[in-house]
Amino acid sequence: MKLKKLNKKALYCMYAATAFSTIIAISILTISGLYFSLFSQPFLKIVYFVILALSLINLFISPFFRYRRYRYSIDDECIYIREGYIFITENIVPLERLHKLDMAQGPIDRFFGLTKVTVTTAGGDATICFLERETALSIADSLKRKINTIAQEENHDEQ
Amino acid sequence: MTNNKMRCHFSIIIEKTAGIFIFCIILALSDLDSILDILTSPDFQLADLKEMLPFLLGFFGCLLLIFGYHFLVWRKTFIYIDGDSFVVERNTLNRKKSTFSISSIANINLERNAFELLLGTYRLKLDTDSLSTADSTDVSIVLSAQKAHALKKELLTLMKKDDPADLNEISDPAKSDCTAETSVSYASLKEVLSHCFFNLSTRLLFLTLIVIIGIPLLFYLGKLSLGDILPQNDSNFMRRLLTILILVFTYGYSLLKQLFCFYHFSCFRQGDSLIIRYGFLRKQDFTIPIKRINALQIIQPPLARLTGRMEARLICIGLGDSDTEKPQLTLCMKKKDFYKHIKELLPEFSTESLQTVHKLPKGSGAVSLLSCICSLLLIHIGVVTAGFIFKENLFDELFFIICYSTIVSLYILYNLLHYFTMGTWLDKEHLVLQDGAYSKQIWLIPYHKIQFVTYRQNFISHRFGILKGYINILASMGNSMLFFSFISEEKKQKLNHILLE
Repeated sequence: MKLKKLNKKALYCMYAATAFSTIIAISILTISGLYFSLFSQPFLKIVYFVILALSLINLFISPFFRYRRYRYSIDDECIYIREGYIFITENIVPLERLHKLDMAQGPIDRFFGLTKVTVTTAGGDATICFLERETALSIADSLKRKINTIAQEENHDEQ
Repeated sequence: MTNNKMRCHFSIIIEKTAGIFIFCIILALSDLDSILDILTSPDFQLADLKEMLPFLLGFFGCLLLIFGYHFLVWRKTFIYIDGDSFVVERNTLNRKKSTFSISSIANINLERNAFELLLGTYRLKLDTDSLSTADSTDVSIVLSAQKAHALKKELLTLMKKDDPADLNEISDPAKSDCTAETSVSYASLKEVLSHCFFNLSTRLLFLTLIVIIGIPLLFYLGKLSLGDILPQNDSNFMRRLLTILILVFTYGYSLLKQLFCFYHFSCFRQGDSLIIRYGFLRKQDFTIPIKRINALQIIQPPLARLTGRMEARLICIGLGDSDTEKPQLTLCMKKKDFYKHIKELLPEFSTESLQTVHKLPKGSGAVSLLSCICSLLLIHIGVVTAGFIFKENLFDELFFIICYSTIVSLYILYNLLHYFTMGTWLDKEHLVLQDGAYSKQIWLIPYHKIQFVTYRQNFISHRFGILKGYINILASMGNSMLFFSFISEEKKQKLNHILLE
């Protein structure tokens, strides 16, 4: 199984997405704290600054590690995805279980020209994220052909 | 019946209209106090009823309109078999034609409630092997008893014809034992009652324990006195009596509901299908092809675990869509009888490996212990934080210390039991997952039913070379993701190899 790395653009996309979610979370926390006058209590002020510090550390560290750890591979038998930061997750999807293929782009993905490919089985989905548009198209195309071949073979076997 | 269009039984119109009528009556009953006040007030005269006449006429007019609408839907809805498809066609203003491939039918259920029993009709329910409709019934139609049985028989014949594997299985001498119909034996009332008793939930057991231990403790600590319990006046007494009665009624009702649900329970093998029947007021009759069973779930609720009993449920699309549909394969029974029963009913799911002890890989204990310590630390930080916020030193109170130490002890006990309960092993034909703490669940999943697998590892488990994860199978929402406990890297490679074989 030959594992593939993501393009450098994926790292910037991860930074942008994490920054966006961190800014939203911190804004909500700050506005709530000011509105309900929670910062008048010294203990809650400490908690707020701890959360703020952890969020900033997460913003600078997590995309880097997630990018370095992210690997995927597609061969004749299965799709393999490895991702994670503190918890490493590995997905193994046998190709013969595939039912559906989806390609999607969010606003941040579109800005960086990236796409995600979601493969659906009868039991759930698995997603390969941060792929370049051309790579995603070629993966979708090759998977489509593989699924068709498997379906044809199954039909042939049944007959 | 092929290419022969038919309609649902006429009673479906009455059933649907009566449903709305009953809903209106319940609505009126909920406001019975106000109605009685009006009727018994001294100002009320019979002539006043005339003012209500237009309202009543309007209400019955609406009912008539609803009846007319359901009549039209009934008249324009046809059910038929077209080649290898089952079609439900509705030619009303909103035209709809649903076509289901017969080969994808996961199970056929003949259901009958008290009203349908009186009229001699059946509700035929079909479910297809699809994730998107896993939590709902695909087809639900009401037919006369004769038509329902005939349609079921025809569908079963077509299902077998569609699948060449069935023909091979029948000719396979190794599996010929299962093709003959086994004798039908119904569970006795005593067995159903014992099933209901041993299925008492962990929550209810804890609640009972809290009441038994907590009330004397509160007395001992002086937090409660007899004066708080004994009634001060009649209205207080009636209110407390009513609360107790509601509690007793709720428990009694849930027990009765289970009893009625599993009344006359029977499960037997007919060729390559399982037939499951049960119900008192609502009779259920499931026919499930064996190849549509995605997993077998073996459960031991706390009381059953203490007394060495087990029960089994099927993980199959279409079972458990509604509250009255229980995916039960066996009722709660002694282990020895259970294994014998499963061997007779489902020899495809071998339970031999369950009878031997399987150890977790090296390092699992350390990882579990670390996770338990972290959780306890977090709980303690939470409690101290709460003390800071409310400016109270909670640990000064004896009652709080007792409650806190009880919760911590229960949490440690939970983790200990969880550690000794969990397990994952690769059987010859199935992946076996074991989980739980006070209660125990075991899943037997045929490898070819596993859709995909996800492994998870943190830096501590990575150091020990062990990992956790979950598998996805085709099942309703609650069962589609099955988590497995620690396995070694070696086992992971073996599982991957089996999956991709």
